[in-house]
This record gives sequence, C-alpha cells and structure tokens, in this order.
Amino acid sequence: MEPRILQVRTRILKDNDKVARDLRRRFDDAGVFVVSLVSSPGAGKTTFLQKTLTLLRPSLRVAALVGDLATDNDAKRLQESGAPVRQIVTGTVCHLEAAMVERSLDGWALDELDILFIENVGNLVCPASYDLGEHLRLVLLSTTEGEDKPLKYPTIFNTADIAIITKTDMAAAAEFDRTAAVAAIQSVRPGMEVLEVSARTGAGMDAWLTYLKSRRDVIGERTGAGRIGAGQITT
Amino acid sequence: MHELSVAMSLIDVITEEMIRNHAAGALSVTVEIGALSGVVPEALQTAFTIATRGTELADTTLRIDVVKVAVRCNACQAVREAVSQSDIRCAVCGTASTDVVRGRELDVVAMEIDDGTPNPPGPDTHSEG
Repeated sequence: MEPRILQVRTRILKDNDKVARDLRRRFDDAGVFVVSLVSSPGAGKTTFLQKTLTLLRPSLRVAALVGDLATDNDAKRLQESGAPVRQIVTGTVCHLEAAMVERSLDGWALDELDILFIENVGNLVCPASYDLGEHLRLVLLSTTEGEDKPLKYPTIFNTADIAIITKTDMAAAAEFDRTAAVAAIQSVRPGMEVLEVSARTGAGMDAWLTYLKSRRDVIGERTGAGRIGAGQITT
Repeated sequence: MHELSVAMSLIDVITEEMIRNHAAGALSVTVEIGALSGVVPEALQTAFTIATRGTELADTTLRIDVVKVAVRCNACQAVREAVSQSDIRCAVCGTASTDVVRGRELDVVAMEIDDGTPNPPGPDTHSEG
C-alpha cells in the first residue's frame, strides 16, 4: 500500500506543557505566586535567592525548590535562610521539567505558602524550552560574565520576564561594561526590565523586592496567586 | 544538551500518531524548530538517530524545517522577519518589537506513514467444512 501523508500540528513538548498548565492552575488555586530563576552556573542564583528568602521571611511564607545535577549543596545554603527548601536532583538531566516540579511538591501544603521560588539547574540553554508552571521567570547575568551572554543565548533571555544583573559589587574589578550588557539584553528582548543587585552588599535588593511585589499584585489579581488576604511584602 | 529529552518526547508524539492512525511504520517525520525554540537542529537530528536505534523508528527520516523569527512590527503595521534571533528588530525598518509571532515552534507538522501489509491474510483454503 502507498504511504500516506498525515498533516498534524502537535507540540513536541505537549506533555510537559500540560503538566505545566495543571501546575499553574494548582498554584493559582492555592494562592501561591511562583517565580523561577535561570542563569549560567556561577552567576549567583543561590546567593541571590538566599538573600531574597531571608529578606522576605519576616512577613511572607516563602519556600524554594532547587534543581541540581548531583549535590544538595545549594539546598543546604538556602535552608540557612530558615525557609523550607526541597532539592530536585536531576542526575544527568540538564534542566528541570514540569513533572519533576510536580513530583517534588508531594505532601507540601501549597495554600500555606505565599511565594515559591524554583531555582533551575545552572544552564543557559536547556531550561529555556520547558514551562514549569511559573508565573514569573528571572534570568540572572553576573558582572563577571561576558556582556554578550544575552546575544549568545537569546532563547533564555527572550523567554524570561526580567533580567537581573548580579554581583554589582564586583563590576569594577571585572571591568563590566554595563551599557553593553543592557544593550545586549535589549537586543534579544526589547523592552525587558533590567535590575542590578549585589546580594552580598544588599545593593539593589529593595528595588528587586518592590518589583517582585508589584508583579505578584498584578499577576496575582488576574490569576488568584497572591490574592488579597495573602501576606504582604514589606520592603 | 536537552535535545535527547526533546527527541524522546518527539518519539512519544510519533508513536501516539501512529497508533491513532493505525500505521505500521513511519517513513518520515517533519518537524518545525523555531530559531528561538532553544533546540539546535543538528543536535536534535543526532539525538533522534541515537534514540531510535534498534526501534521501529530506526529507519524513519527526520526532516527539520527551521523557522526564522518573525515579529509584529508596529511601525510597518505588519508581520516581518526579525534581523536575527538575537536582534529582535524588524528587518525592514529596524524598529524593536516585543511581539514575537514566529520562531518559538517546536512542533511535529507532518508524517509519512505506512499502513502495513497490503491485505489481511485470506481465509485458510485448506480448512475443512
């Protein structure tokens, strides 16, 4: 019999997309605002998140999931903030997928949380293709990396909602060209908001928490995540 | 390298379509990969070859169509190709755009399937009765 041609239009990652959609609905129903972080290895995700959790803890119920290839070092560091932290060991997988997030939530009472952070595996390529059900995706770029990183990894910058330049306390030593970095970000994602922080000195953290609060209010009002009555962020 | 994960998902999609269409085999599969999808076509090709080795899809040809980034340009009031995947401006007038309309695809768009043996075996002529 002659072969026949089937015309289809099916997302290759449709299974991941479905789990991510279900997760987002679950987060919305529980009123938890979910923020994911992506960056290259060593850009300072864990330090930034540790500081963020510590600053938010007095007034908000925060928690974190952290993806790591092999160790639980990052999870231990984040636990120092006092927030509940769970580790997702991905083994040889270089990115988080929605199903991994779903499995790691087992037994967690999401409605007792205000904000859940998901720290992806340090990698600027692979995490870009996978929706995790998050409401907000941050991409971090440190002053010790090349300013042209966004041009080399356009997908991850284009799929993120905000870029955060980290380690600003080291900018002078690294001869970081701020103008070039911001121009590269604007080239791959025109109009993207850029914040600059040093988790070590605390510089810029107020502006970041203000941004986080405003996004939580805007998105939460639409979806139910961060609804009125849930904790308020004080900066 | 997440192309192996993507290849495994692709195999799942192909297998589902084959079952749905009662296909015995797939001669070829065509996928669209956007320039902003995060997937490298050559790496996906290699991953697909490795992942299908020794399976019923071992001889299936994977055709990859790369989709260039296109944006809605407010200045031109039209959908235009972008300068490149790392320069999201209208290639015609140079205006930056926040509205990417093509280039994120990661889709199966066509399959060439084989319906298997031409005819079911006829009734056994040697049977009694």
